[in-house]
Amino acid sequence: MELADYATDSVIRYDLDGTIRYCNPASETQFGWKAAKLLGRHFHDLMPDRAEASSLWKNLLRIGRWDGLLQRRLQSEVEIGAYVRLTVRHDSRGRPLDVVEYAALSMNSPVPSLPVPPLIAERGGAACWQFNIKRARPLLDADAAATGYDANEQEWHPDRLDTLLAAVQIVDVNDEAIRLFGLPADRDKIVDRRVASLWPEQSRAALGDLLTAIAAKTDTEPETREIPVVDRLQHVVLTGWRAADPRCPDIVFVRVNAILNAPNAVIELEASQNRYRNLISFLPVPVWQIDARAAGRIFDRLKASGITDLAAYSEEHPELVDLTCDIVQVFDVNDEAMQLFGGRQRSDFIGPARYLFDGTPGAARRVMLAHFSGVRNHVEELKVKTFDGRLIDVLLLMTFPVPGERRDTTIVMMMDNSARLEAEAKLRIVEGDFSHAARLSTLGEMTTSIAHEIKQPLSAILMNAQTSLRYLRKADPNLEKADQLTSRIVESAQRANDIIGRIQDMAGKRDPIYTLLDFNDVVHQCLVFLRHESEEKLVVIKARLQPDLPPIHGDRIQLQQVIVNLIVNSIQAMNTAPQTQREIYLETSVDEDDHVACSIRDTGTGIPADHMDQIFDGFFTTKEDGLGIGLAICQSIVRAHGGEITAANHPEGGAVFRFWIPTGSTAEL
Amino acid sequence: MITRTRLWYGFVKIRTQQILKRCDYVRGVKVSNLALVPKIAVVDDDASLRDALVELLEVFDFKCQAFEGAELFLAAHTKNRFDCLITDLNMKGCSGLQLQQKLATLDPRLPVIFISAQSDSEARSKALRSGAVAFLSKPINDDVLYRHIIAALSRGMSRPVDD
Repeated sequence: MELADYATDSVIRYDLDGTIRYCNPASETQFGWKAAKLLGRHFHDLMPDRAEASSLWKNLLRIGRWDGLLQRRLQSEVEIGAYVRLTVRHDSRGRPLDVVEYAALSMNSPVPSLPVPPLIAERGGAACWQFNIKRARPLLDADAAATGYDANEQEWHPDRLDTLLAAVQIVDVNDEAIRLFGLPADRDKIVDRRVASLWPEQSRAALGDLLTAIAAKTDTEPETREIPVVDRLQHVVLTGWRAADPRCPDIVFVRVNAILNAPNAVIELEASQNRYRNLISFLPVPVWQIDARAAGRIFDRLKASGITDLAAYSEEHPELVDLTCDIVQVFDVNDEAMQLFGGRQRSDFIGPARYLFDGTPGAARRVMLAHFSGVRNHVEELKVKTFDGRLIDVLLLMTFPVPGERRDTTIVMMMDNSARLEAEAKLRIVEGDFSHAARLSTLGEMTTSIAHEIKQPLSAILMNAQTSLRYLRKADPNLEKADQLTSRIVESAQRANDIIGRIQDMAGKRDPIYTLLDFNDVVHQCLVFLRHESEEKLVVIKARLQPDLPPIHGDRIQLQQVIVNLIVNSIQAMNTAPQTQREIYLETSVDEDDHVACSIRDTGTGIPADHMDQIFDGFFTTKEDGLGIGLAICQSIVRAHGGEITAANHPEGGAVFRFWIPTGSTAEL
Repeated sequence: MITRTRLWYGFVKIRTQQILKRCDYVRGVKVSNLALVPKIAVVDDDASLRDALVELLEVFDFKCQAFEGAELFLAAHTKNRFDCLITDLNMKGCSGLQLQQKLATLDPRLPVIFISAQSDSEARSKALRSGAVAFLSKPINDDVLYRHIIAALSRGMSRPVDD
């Protein structure tokens, strides 16, 4: 101890009772105690609070080390902060020998006094946990009373163990525990959480036993439990005891001693954990870390009881989804995630994972089914409610742990989709505008035949009305005739209305409405629409429609637009052809891939070879007054229906346009 | 040569059947009922318009026969069977103008009135150049139509009869 006499820090040696056996001169100068006065005094004489001091001492002896800030009482009764490091020394046979204290005055003294003393050393030889079992008391007491508690006989029912460990709150852990158990580096993320979410799977029962035994005891003597192997640890010994401080009767300490399998494993583990933590926190993507083990345990039990179809089971037991949402816990989020959700405090994000799926009905169930099925990843687009009340579109990416990995971490990432969806919506509007413009352009080319078509019923109406008036104005009015003619007026008016309706459909601006359609019906409506146009241009349309086509899923007006556009193009292509040869062959069929196909062939001049590649390009036109968007729109409409359109020249002359649409059952719309 | 029909056409402005019948009765021996009432052919492929036209001609007290297309009319046509033809311009198959061309050789004196939903000036002048009595745009006013029918019948009255 002579060397210590020259040290500038205070060095004190206590015996195991806490009685001071040695102090160096620095102790005198630092704490203002005369060496003679110090020797023979007790550790608690240097502390302002005797009870606090004695519980710290007891912990020190059990844990082996303690360091941290302490309030020190000077001889003058003044209190001063000091950074103190206490180490238990052992003899050659491993028995505790004495305690050596190094202390230096704290720069920021006095230390604010703490309501509950810092009972666990921040750094120490053994991993140490501090629990509050207050909320688990009723369960623990019931166990002890019911079974007369026998640790060795105790068989844990999984539910009961879950409930117990979910009620035990973590008050503190030391660095060694963080390292050994792979806990979050930020102690704030551990404190106040339930032990159930952080304690390793294989030693849960042992912890349950230990806590039950401690709760049943009246003294603060330690209890131990041994477990042969936990993950990479061997010879794991749990030592637990209740705090000596009567002010905190529900505080329990658990020390964990273990041997790591491989000597390098510790370093590797630490390094990889650091990398992992850095990766997550600096990842420019919102990341949630979720502990879904509780759900996994439920799934294991369901599987064990023979349930393989969770979809059906969860329909019968909808409360399962609810339960899963509550027991699956978020334990960490990165800054990006907080930003995405507009949250201020990390603690708002920690807890049941329910809030992640609240914005989309059914999402929680789909995630649960994915987890149950044992897949690696689950991806879906969903809407989430942010903490500041927005509803945003995100792409959810979930990665479930697979055997061989740490089971306690399910990674959830979300990509903000709002911008992409917004752009897509804008694109759809532009496409809609173009498609509308193309329809108007087609209608514009057909004004003559449209006028003709409307004039027919109007002429009939006028003529019948005039005739009717003549009958009524006769000296002997013919009411029977007037009645008959007026009925015809009604019919013709209805017809005129239908024609105008069809034109309005084509001319109107509207969002596509996808329904199941009989494609032949669609074609037939087009032929009615085009009858006058083709007659006027002396074109004969020969339609061969295959009966009983399977229904297709599509928008009637858009598909009509495609057909009308192709036929109008064909009619125009034959303007210069001899009148006897103006024919259009329209065919519908089911092709070899079970698609509904439609081909429109004319007897015009065909498509010039050098136009073939550009024919579906926007603004490509050979017509003087054409917009050049007709075929481009046709292509985009057909593609939006999941189909394809092609153009070719027929060997016998003329152009042939062919397109196909998947049938209702195969379309993914 | 003046036929019975042509004699009648001078008095054609008398409209009602009653008066007509009285005339028949007065001249009963000479004039048969059928022959006295002018017969008008209507060709239009639009059923509602065709029916309306037939009704209007009936209230005018003309006899008429309607055809769905030019071909059907030509099949039923014989010289002097009809006193006037009212045809639509635009029809499937044979158009009004084509029908007029055919009649130019088959029955050159048959007066033709065109009706059309389009104000196609080219077709109009072509029809009139080829001797059409009138080219009326739909919708058609009844009085206007009547005046033109009367004009057509009067013109037909002056046509030579070669039987």
